[in-house]
Amino acid sequence: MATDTQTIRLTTSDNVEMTVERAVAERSILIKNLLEDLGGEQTESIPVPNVAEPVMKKVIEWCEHHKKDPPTTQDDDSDSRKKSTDIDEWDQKFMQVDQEMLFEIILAANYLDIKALLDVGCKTVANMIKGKSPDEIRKTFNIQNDFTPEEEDQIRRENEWAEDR
Amino acid sequence: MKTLHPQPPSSPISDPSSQLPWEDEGPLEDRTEKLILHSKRTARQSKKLQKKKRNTEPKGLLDLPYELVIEFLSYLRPSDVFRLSRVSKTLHGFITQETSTIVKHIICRRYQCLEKCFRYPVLLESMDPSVHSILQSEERQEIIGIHKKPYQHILPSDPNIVCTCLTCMLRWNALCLVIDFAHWQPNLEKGEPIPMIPRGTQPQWNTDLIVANAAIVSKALRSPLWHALILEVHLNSTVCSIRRHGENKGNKRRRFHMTKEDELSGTDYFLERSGPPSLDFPFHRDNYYMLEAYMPNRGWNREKETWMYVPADQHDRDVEALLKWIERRRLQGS
Repeated sequence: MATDTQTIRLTTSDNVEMTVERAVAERSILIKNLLEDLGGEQTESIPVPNVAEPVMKKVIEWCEHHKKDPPTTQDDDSDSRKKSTDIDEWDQKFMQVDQEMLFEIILAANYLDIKALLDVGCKTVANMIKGKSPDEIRKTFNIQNDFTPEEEDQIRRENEWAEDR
Repeated sequence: MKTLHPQPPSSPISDPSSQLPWEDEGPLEDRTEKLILHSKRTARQSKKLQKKKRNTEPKGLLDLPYELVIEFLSYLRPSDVFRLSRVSKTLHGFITQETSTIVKHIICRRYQCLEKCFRYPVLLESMDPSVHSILQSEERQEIIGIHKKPYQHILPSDPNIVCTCLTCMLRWNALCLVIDFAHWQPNLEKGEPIPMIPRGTQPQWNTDLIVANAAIVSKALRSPLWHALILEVHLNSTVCSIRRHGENKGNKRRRFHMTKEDELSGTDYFLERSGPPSLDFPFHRDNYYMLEAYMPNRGWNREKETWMYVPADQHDRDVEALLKWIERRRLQGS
């Protein structure tokens, strides 16, 4: 199809212009709706003020890999129930980035309205928490323990049965 | 395009034969250099913008916006949420404040069937005070005694705290039962017998155990996260039991079809399939040996090929029926 090879230009928050295949960029519902609203050939570059170039590159890499995925539907609810925290192998490798980049990708996916990418990002964060003790979670995310020993002990006692599951 | 170079006149020249001076010079080329803005004000604005950008960039988990934190929390199991709440004061505060929203998402993702099978009983304090005395009357407590007295493995609910309409009593018993069933899973897994209690005796270890189980259910009445945790625990017991019985080649009873993927999914999706209904209440720990998927309060509809659940407002209907019964007795008495 002619529209598949059509390209558009995006300008990131750090003023870098990127040329992207339209079908790839349209994985973002925000861009898709924008292009539909503008209609016809898009010659002007589309500003993406909330996403910097390195993050945009990653997002486009993901969109390119998933450009032929069927669009998300209501039935995906039941599918998401079947695969609560399962992540596709390629997506797992894709998400092997430093934490700052991971959070930037999640924010970009949220801003650009790419639900599948947002899901993968959130599942990755959830998998980093799953089964870990509070101490391990603190180490993973570099979070300071600001409870006093007494406060922490009280919460531990209250939730003992829950945490042992 | 607007540039700083001189432009040719926009209106056509009246004499077309005359040669214009710029026509033989080829197309115009824009050689304008980008205008560099330089002033104290621009510098201030640029500094401000950089600062703003630095502040909005996520530095860690806690810097993500509210809706995204809720989003990734919804992928966790309730037990993970409990552990996460002990990480820092910020996370503890956030989870405490947003418990209902987080749990709604988790249940929607993981425990849609279990939630309908194991609803929690209603707290008396949330009911009309005029009904309290009717529910707590000695005569009525004697009538419903049949649902309390025979069980060794369940502590009866406190009629001063929890509604004792039939629905709420059955809900209480079911929640206490699944906690007790989970407690004995290690024995069932290892094939070790569950200690039996001679009729009419109540050893201290059993009293302690059923009191502790009831305390967990009491927490679930006030915190949806504890309720969700009970559902998680029961899903684990159910998965273990189905796998255990499935491995026993001699056990040919009908059971829920459960794949390895279902087992690892941590969701109750596979319990939506057709399977044996839970008609009988496990009235004794002896029943645990053969218990697989205990999913009360639902029945299979063959025509629609789906499970039909006891409606959530069954408690209201029970209380209504109770009030009508009291009114009838009052009229008969007078």
